[in-house]
Amino acid sequence: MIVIYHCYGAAHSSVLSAAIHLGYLPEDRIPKIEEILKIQYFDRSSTGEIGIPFYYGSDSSGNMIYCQGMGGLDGVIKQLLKDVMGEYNIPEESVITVNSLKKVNILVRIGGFLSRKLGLIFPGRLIAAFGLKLGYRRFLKTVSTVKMNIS
Amino acid sequence: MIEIIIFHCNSLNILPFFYLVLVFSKNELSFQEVYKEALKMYMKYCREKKVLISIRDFIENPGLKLYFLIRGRKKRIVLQAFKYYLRLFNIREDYQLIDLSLYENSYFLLADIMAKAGLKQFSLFLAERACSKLYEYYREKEERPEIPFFKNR
Repeated sequence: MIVIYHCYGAAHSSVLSAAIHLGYLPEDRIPKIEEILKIQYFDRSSTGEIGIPFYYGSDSSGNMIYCQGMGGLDGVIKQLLKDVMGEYNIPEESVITVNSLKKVNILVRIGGFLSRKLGLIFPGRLIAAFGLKLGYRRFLKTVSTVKMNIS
Repeated sequence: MIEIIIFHCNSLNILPFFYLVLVFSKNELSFQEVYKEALKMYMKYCREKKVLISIRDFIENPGLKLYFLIRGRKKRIVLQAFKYYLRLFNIREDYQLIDLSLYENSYFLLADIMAKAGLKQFSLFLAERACSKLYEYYREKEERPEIPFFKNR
């Protein structure tokens, strides 16, 4: 199965969710900011990469985990995915998309804006990571629901 | 060898159908003939809520698969997503993208707005006007898109 965690730019919330899913971040405690900052692809994607689903890893059950920035076009992109799958007879249940953006708080949005849009990477990254730390339990809940559904 | 042609545009209006009939018709049709055929096709497909629409019943299709990709205004994001979704599923299709946004002039945009506002007749009037301009431009310039269909004619 393919799991696509998506958000606006595939820089923060989707990457965090994918990292939790794959065990790169703890599920039994809230991580430190340093741990969040160190996860692969955190606050790294550029505007030009929005739209591209990128492979993050495979979980212990062999499910492939992707992150994708949808640039605010969630409805269009998800419908496109459905249309492509329908056209090539790919079963709908072989892909699930998970909206990580719904879980973010204002700090993540501000941090992401500062870093990705304004180029103020150091403060932006810190604020985004802090915001994700504050809302970490929501992401844990989402990921555990996804894992339960796909097992 | 190219097997698929995808026409991409901002919104699903009569433009892609008009362009399709104009470009693919074997005989040189009058504006009214092209418009009538395009309108018939548009009325058939206009309720589809898809982003990628397969055009299966176009009789002038010489064996190529034809699609419309209704991508909205953020062109790059949707086209990237499309390209990488094909890669994701290991779909290796040789396709060509034809950008119709070059022809989406203000008449078409206004027609879209009028249609959303519920003024369907006015919307069709504007669309017909836009199509007539496209027809004149196409016939005058004798512009042919770079697609394999024309190499075999």
